[in-house]
Amino acid sequence: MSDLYFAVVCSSNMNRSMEAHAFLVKKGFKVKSFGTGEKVKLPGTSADRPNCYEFGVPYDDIYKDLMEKDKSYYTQNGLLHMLDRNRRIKPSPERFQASNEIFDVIITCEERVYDQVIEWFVSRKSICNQPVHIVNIDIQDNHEEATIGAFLISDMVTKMSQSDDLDNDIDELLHDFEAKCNRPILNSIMFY
Amino acid sequence: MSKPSTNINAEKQLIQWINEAGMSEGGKRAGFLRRIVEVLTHQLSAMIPMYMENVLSFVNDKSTDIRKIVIGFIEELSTNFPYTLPKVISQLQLLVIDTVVAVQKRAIQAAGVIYKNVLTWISKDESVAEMKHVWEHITKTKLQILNMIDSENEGIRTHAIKFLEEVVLLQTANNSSDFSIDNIPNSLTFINHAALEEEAEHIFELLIKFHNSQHISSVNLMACMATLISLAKFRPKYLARVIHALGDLHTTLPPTLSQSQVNSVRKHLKIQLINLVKHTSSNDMIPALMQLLSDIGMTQQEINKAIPKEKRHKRVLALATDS
Repeated sequence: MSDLYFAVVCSSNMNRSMEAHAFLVKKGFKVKSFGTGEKVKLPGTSADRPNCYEFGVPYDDIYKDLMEKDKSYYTQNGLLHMLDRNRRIKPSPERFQASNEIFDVIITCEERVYDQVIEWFVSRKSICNQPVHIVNIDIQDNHEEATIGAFLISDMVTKMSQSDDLDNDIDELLHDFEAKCNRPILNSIMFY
Repeated sequence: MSKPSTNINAEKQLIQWINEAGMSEGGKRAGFLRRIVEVLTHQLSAMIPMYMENVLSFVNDKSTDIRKIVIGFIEELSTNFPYTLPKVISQLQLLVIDTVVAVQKRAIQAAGVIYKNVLTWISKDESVAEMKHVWEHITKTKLQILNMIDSENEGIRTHAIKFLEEVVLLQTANNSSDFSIDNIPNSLTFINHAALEEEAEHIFELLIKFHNSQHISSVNLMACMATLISLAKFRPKYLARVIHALGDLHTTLPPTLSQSQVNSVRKHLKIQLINLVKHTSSNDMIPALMQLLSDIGMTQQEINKAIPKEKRHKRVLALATDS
């Protein structure tokens, strides 16, 4: 196992990034997960009334809040199950832009999230000149796609970890991976 | 417990770790060395002169991790204890040409930080002989890295590009509070300001050439693009040439790129350009930048959204004055 440090990022650090986080941790990778949105957004009982929380509010608190609001509805749509899974992985959703950690690879789950990650890097001056690869793989924000996405991310991360020299191999590695998974990949390099 | 006795205990512990590091192997040795560096640079910094050699002696260790720890130590010393530079600078030169790519890359990464620290130290210190010694070593290291832009290893190229960005920024005069060559006293005879500025110009041209070469990898193209835009942002004298190079790139992307790589490069260009138009340094080139944004496929509405209102007004005023 290589010592690469991965971040998986989606919008709210709830579904896609957490599914992948759980999967990668089980496989023994060094990984963290984040969201890039302004707030943590979860579907509400109607489309125009989402449940919004600040990043940092514990998954456990959100779980209790939703249970109080409508236990049967949020059980049926799987949110309580997802929050229960999340609170077993880490305490609370984290915002990518507030993190001080340095990763080797950042994997985003949606083009808009990829843009936000790159914009964040572009808007600040690099300090230690350490490169980070940013890779996007589109995953729809639902339970089934998150599960498939976690498999794909795990596959990609495994290949990255098997490389002796990722910086040298990444172009070819992603090219091959893209052909195999049949989803468009975006990638870039930024510096901390 | 009083502070001196805490330090005595810490020193005893440090000596023990130094001994254990010498006797252990692999991961264990790296673990001890990390602890030694941590305590020495934070808790027992007054004892750095006494114990730094114990860390530096691992520069030839067979473990890649350990050599990388030594690089981190040298980088930390150059930042917070620059008086040690005369003792550590020759080690950096060795590590930049290490036989292992991962060590080389870590050394190049550190060299960017160390180069800045050397210049800052030189502008303040008084021991000319030592400064000259350090300057000669860092200059050689710089030239070694400069040649690595043609390395066969893509990662080394990436690191070299970023290092060269730092060199150009440092060796170009500027009006901001950023440290650069104009902060170095003219009295230092071993530093030729004009030659350094000329070298920066040469490196900038080299980066432009690399950026627009037809056989560049997509990752390095994006790294180089980001470097050029950073130079344009912080040294506006390069702005016009950078916009020209980005325009050239847009019309003639390397033929070796796959469709996804082309998409990634174009997106990278767009995000970087949008950031550039928002930066104050681009004020004089807004019309050219708007043209480029249009060329890369942005609609007028998107462009208007990207460019701050006051800049658009300035442009309208400029056009009215011109006509």
